[in-house]
Amino acid sequence: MNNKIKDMIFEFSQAYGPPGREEGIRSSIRQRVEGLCDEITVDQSGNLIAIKHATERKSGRLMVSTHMDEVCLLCSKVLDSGFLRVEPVGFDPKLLPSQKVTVHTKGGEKLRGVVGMLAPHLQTEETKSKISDYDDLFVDVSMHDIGKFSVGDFITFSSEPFESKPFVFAKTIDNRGCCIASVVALEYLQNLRHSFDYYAVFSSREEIGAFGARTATSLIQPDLSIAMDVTFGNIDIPGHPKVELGKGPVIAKGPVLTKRVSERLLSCGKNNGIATQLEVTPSRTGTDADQIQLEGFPVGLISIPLSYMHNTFEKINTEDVKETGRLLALFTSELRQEFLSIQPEEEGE
Amino acid sequence: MYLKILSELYGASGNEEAVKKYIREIVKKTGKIDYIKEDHLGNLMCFKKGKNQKKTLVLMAHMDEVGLMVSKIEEDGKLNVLPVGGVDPRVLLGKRVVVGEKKINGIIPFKAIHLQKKDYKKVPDWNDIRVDIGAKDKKEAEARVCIGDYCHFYTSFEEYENRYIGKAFDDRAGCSIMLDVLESMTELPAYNVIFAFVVQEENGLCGSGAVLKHFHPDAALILEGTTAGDNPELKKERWSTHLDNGPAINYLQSMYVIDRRLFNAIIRTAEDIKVPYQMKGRTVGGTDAGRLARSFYGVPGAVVNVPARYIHSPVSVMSKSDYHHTLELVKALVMTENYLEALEV
Repeated sequence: MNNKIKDMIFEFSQAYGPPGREEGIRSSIRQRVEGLCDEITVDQSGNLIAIKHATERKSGRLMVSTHMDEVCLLCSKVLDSGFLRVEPVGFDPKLLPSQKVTVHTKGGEKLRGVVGMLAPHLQTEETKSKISDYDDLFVDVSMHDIGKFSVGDFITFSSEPFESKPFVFAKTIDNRGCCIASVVALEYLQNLRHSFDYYAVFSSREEIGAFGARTATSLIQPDLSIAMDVTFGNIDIPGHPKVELGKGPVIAKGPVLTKRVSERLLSCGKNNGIATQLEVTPSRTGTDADQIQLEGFPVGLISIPLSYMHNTFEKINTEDVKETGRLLALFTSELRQEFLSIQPEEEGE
Repeated sequence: MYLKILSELYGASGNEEAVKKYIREIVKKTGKIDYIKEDHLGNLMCFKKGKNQKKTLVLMAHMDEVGLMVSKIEEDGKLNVLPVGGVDPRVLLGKRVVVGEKKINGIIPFKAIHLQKKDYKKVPDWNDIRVDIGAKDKKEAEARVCIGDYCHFYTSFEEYENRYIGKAFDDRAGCSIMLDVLESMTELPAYNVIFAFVVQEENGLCGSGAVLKHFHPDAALILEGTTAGDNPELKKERWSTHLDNGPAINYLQSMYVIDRRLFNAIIRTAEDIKVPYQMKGRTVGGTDAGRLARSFYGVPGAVVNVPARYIHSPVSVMSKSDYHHTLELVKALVMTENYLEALEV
């Protein structure tokens, strides 16, 4: 399983999918979930929804949302001298100098670009002591006909994934790692009974505000939902519990998240011998869960620990991906209608 | 053209063995060399007899590239590194590297943008640079790498209609041109030529001087991959060279004023064979010409460069036409009498 997960990370991380342009990753995921579910649809927002019907008398709808889009750059100006100016979508400019990128042109080509950095010989004391922000950065595309480029072209990072067991290093594991956990859950569900229709949503446009998850929720009207995303692993964040790679899925607690869902995820892990970790999200979670909550549905959040989020190389432990998928499948299988009947108290009438 | 393989080989200063092995193999394959000599430093010198054996030219390129060296292994299994040659830590973040002889893969990460506060605007220095090879702790890391291991940029070579993309064009471009010149020889060069592939240029021109212990050339011609600087944010007046304008000729550089007679001979030859050329617009950066001029009895020299953007970083960009024009020019300088004759004036 871990080897298969590694292969999927290699494949998914290279698939094209900036916010609102998720066609590449959508087709990769589609190929993996075909045969594991009963229906596959793509909605107006570009969400891919894989539905696996309940195998027992239907008790409700469970939605699991994992975003599939990636951080990227956008071309904001084309210079005749063979360079592009760029604007970011969630990307740290410090990682860019001397980076190979791929420009996705309106003609459908994938063209190489290089983010240049002045050689140290030509730097001055002044230029040495500052970091290049998007006003100074440029993409060298002089290896191609400049007429092929236009404002609005999406630019993704080019980094070759590799494995150093049990870790995989690749771009865009945020959030393709969770997409894979969702596929893994569907695989486990093949051998489990479940009384909820299971909606695996691979959502669009999370990196610009999780709009995909919002519209999917509105469409599906789930009785219960789980958002899956990555979280900061192996780093000390003042005031937060330290989450570590290789120690299992992370269950979040916070105002956005429905308390009994978080508790049930934790107890499900405990009962099935799946190690879990805890994190707190005292305000917004910064994931699909925020938008699901705004639609008014109960929601829980499972995160996979990851190092170096939004870097050109992110790091994940394949065991965590597997265990997250297993937890999700067992949670689904153990879910009964009674869990829904705990409704908020009503007064009057 | 051997640039692809040369560019992808790992060989920071002091670690040129793999590059040298490959070059030696190619040199032998051409069958055009009279004899090969290596010295204790690691310089590779290939002697080619000329039509006129009274004079000798040394054609020189350095085999080394800039890189990193493991300086410490942390408790958490991450590696501290220090630069070998001139490396700006700002080009390292987010890049893939290869560590040690076992070629262990690693990356140079940076804190997630979400967790940065004041450090968003901070210029990273060597204290911020760590290499993650996926080791869980110090013990696991020590089983894979050790202090003193070299750490190289991992960059695949790419070729386009008029561009090459890759690492180490400074100075594998020079090495590649020397091999091309040798391979293309159908007759003897005008004078004796020593094809010298030297070590440790990037850590202070440390290798080239020793070549003069074994040979006594009359003049040197240094081949380099040099800075371009024709970036959009830099005013044209401050460019060093411009891609596609042909080989760049130095007239003055750090530590050395180029020998006027040799300089003129290069220009004259370029015009004779109608190869475009440009003056290097900046005098920053030294080359082995400066070292040879102050070694032993002092050998006069000049420099011909292939311009490359973003050198001393994991990825640089070079013009194919510049490469080929430089090759044509160097061939003419080796095959005709122009260059060494100039010294008789």
